Amino acid sequence: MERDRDSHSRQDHLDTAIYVVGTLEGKTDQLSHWLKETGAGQIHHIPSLEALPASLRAQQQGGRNQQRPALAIIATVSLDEAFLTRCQHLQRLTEKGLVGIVVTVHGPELDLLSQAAALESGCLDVLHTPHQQLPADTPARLQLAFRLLHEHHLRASQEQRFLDELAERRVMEARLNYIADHDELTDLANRASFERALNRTIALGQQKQITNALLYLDLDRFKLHNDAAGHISGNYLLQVVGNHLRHALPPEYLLARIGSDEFAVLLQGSDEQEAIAAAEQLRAIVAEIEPDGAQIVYHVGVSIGLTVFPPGSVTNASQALAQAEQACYVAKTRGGNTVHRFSREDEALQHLYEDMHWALPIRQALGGNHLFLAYQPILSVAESRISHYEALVRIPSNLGGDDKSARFMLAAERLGLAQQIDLWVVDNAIDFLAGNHELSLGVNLSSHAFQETSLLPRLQQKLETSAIKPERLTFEITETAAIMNFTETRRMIGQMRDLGCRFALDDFGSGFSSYNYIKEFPIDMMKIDGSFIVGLHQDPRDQAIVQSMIDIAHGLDKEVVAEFIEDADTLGMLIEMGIDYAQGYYIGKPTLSPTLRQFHGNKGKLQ
Amino acid sequence: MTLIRYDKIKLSVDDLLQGDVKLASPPEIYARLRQLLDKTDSTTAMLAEVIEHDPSLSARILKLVNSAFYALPYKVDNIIDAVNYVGVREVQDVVLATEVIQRFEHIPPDLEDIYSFWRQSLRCAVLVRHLAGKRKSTGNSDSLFLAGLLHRIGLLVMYTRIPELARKALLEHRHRGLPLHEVQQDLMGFNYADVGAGLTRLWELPEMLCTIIANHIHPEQAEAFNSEAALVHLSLAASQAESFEPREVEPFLPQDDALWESAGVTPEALKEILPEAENTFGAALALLR
Repeated sequence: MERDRDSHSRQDHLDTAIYVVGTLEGKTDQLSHWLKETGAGQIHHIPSLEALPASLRAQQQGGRNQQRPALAIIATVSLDEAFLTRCQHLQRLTEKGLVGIVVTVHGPELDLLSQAAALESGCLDVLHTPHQQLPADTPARLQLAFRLLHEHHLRASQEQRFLDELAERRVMEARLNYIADHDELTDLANRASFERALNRTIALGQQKQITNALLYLDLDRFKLHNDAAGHISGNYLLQVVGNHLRHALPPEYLLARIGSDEFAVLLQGSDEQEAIAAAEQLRAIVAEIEPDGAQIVYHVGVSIGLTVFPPGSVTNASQALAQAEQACYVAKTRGGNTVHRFSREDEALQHLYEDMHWALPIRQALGGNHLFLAYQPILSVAESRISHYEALVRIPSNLGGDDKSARFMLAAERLGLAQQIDLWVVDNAIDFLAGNHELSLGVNLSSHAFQETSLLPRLQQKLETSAIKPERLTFEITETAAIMNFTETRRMIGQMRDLGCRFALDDFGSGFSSYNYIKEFPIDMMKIDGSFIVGLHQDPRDQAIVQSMIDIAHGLDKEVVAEFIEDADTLGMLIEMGIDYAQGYYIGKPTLSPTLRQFHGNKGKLQ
Repeated sequence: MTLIRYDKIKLSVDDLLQGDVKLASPPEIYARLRQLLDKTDSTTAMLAEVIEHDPSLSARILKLVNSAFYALPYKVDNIIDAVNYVGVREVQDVVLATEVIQRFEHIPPDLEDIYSFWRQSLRCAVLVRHLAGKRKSTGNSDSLFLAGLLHRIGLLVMYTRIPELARKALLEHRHRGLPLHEVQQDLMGFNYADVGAGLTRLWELPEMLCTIIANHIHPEQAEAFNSEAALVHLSLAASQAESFEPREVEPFLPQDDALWESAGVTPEALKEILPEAENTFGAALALLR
């Protein structure tokens, strides 16, 4: 648009509408001639100043971008105040199109003061025509007026363009801000803006001593719905749920979608009672959303976690959200479609805390290869010596571990880190066996071990390179883990036994499993669950059960191990009953330096 | 009422209108007609020529002129006759209505079904046209049909310029049952009536039309044309009914006596005009097709 004004000044004249207003006392022809010489386009003759506004308006009505500047050459007898006011008014009439005014004054005299006043009022030039004649320099002065008019016009249109762009930028900004703060799917607030509002509410609560509450909603079976019906239906479902929630909540409660199928509600100034009522209402509303057979295929429910935070109880949004989310987790574990209020004492939450506590130490120990094995001796009753140990994995205490227990393994399983630990244990157990030729080792595998596809090839390769006898390695898996995925587990155990390794069923008797499973299960040993052993010599019922377990195991041609043996009497009784191996503090506590040795305790009963 | 906890949106009606050069210009043929009418020497033939330049517009005008909307006793088959029989003003209004309808054709259907939108506006326009004839004192009836038709034009500007915010307001309105203009006011600091008035002023439409659009939600607040704004308000209320059946219209009629007083009509009068309005409405649908 920017053009070179000098070389195009002729073109400018053509763009300009020219109005010759009033009678120039016979000089009109002369003026028209000169105007044409300067290259001006269409010239309109207007009889009087009164008619000019209508003509100007008519010319200007073509949309903003089509407006052209106009030059009005107005004849007058005097530059009095009334006239100048009308000139000013004319210029305001067409703000965007811009009108330039050149005045011709017929009066005998033109004083400098009124001339200055005219220029002050926005006139581009004042031509004095005292003798009914246009001044000789009129063409040059018209030329100049054109130039000035176009300068003004250019400036005005640039200014306008600038204002337009500014306005457009504000519109874009408002839209972008909105988009940044909202979830596109449901048009609810998104997580970022919700957290902002929550932080503000927490600060305000502290300042004004107000109790607030927060709900965390997680749809039940949403993933199932999504998988079954596809994500388009899933999105539709989320919109429906969003609108139902919106419908149910008064506008002063902020509702947000903060995750894929998670919503949150900020209940400003609500106490526990109000919050529970609101949560129950929302739960019922979502439960009532009926499958429509097309888009919504399953009945969905919602689990709602609720937390009430009096002033000072939480310091920021993430704390409040974490509480509500944890409460929601509890509601989920209770089967969904429930409301649960956050409490620090929740048992389910203890797991969460435990997991949180262990996550870092486990990762550090795995990453830095800081795990280590402790070895608990196992007595062979027939040989009355200790050639067999159970390897127990530990995290060093300087990493937050506990040298005495493997409690972290439960957390590791929940955190999905158990398989990595299994691989580490297998590696290190075989290395140990390679360096201690006279010993055998029992190794625990987690319940997820068989889902790790690299376990079998890794084991095979490790056995080949170390060249140890595979039967010196016994894997222990728990009864519950074995049953969980029966067919797959059986297949894997079969393949590992084909390599020559032995298998023991740990905690036998704890899972109420049917003997039928045992019969079918490809194992070499059974370890009786410690709970039957601890009070064995005082409880005839335990004795009866243990005796029958030993008999059954032997009947199936499997060896029997008894754990948790803490005194000589128990050991004696179990040997009577016919166990093959014994383990427990009485035999020996876990040690870091296992050796082959004779067992001398309870000598009398060992033959 | 506060709906918004997050940062207020900093936007003005002017931003909405100014930033869009196309929107800021009045509909083209309407503007050209106005330009001609401002000149003293323009003739009916010149006006007709401008209209005939757009064949689909001409067809629509002829269809409407020959319909029960005007109920002329003879058939009109050219624009010059149309202008002569129904008047320049009427033709100019029809041109404006048609051009506005065309301009906002492409509103995304998830925001509003544009056809139903215009149907309701048209119901309102027809009602106000007939209702005006029932006024005790005959006030200014020019542009009332247009005011009825264009009272929600600001909404269309919002749909085009700030679709996300407009959608949010719609959802809050639909699912929380709050009045749309209140939600918009709260969300953006202005409502569709403000935008509509801003646009019609920018287009330099008749002052009465702009004032009615600005004040049709709260006619009592208008500084001028209260009676006309009240008339549109009442027609708008009545147009919420899906039909012209008195039984169905009845529940939508405001109970506010002052409003009826100000409009200079009675609920009975409104019910009386329903059959004629229905008839006219059927004919006026020609504007939409």
